[in-house]
Amino acid sequence: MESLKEYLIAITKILVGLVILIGGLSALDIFVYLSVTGSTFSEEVAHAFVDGYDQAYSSTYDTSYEAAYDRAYDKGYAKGFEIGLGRIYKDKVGRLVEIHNPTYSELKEFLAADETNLNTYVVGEYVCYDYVAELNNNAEAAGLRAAYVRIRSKNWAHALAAFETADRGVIFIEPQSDKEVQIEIGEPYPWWQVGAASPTRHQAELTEIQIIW
Amino acid sequence: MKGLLISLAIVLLITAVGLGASALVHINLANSLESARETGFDEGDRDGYERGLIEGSIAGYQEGSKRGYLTSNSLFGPSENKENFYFIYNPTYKEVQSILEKDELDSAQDMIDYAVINGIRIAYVRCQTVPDEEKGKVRLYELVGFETVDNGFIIIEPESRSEVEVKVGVSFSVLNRLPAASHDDTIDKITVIW
Repeated sequence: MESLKEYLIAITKILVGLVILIGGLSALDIFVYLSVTGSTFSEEVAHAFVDGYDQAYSSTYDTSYEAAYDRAYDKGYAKGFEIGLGRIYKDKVGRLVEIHNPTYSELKEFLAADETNLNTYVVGEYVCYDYVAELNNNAEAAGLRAAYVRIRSKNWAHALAAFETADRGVIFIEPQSDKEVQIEIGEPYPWWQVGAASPTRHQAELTEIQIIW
Repeated sequence: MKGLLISLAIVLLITAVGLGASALVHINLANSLESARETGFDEGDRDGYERGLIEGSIAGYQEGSKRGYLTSNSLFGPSENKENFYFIYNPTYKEVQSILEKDELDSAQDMIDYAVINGIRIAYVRCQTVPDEEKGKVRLYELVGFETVDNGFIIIEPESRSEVEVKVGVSFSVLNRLPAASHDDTIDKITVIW
């Protein structure tokens, strides 16, 4: 009886030792790995994803861009030549639309002169996309190229304008206030900071940005 | 002596099991990272291709069309002092018909993307119906418009690729001789955005 008890104690000790050793080694392994990389495991997975994404994106983008550029250049040249001839021979008068991407200061001048932002927001009658439509159509009439931008979250949608400035890249404008706004997937829209009427009380993050030039 | 050997064997067994478990954890970590990297690679490859295709097409077309336009001007007529312009033109009615023949363009966004890549001036036409009586919801017809040089302003319903008319206060299906809609499709508001 006594020896059986000793056996059981010995086996228990062995099992406990086994569990401790396995656990210890596993924990040590993870600890050493994460200490070396200086991050958590989920961060490591996210980094690996981003690394792979960036690597593939840049190489494929360049190849795809160059091939598309060359094809489109020839196609564009032919169409440009044709439209240019039309202007001279007056057979297709007015086909070319007088428009250009503004500089940043041109954009600011246009916004300062344009009065779309002074309109009153009326629920169901004159809302966000009405502001954008008016601003963009005024911009085109003034010879500036503008985009209609739709943004969405889980529980709201909104519209704003964008301009591809020659010197500062794409600038997003909240047409209810003419303020510049930064938008990013995963971030909330700064309704209050840019003086826009919010269609919701929810501060949900953006899930989609659609730019229609 | 026998006890010592058994103890030694047990220690070796425990050590082996421990090392095995450690190796498994390590492999699992490495596999997760490799899998994440591969997924990222695939998505990056797809996005890079699409983005490069669109941006390369737009940039190439713009550069080529401007050069072509200025060349024909300088060769055959008084040259215009144009450098800073974005090449965009109003199509002929026939050119719009050739866009409608493209099967892959079956949404407003597809048509707009195609037009932007090819320097064609296009409008987004947003048609809103009257609110639903029960839920108060409105429905949208997302259409596109072209200012054709020979046939005026025309509106296209991208899904059916057909020319349509829109008028506030009139049913979309009645106006366009379409089968009756399951909801009230009376147009309440039309917004044209260039």
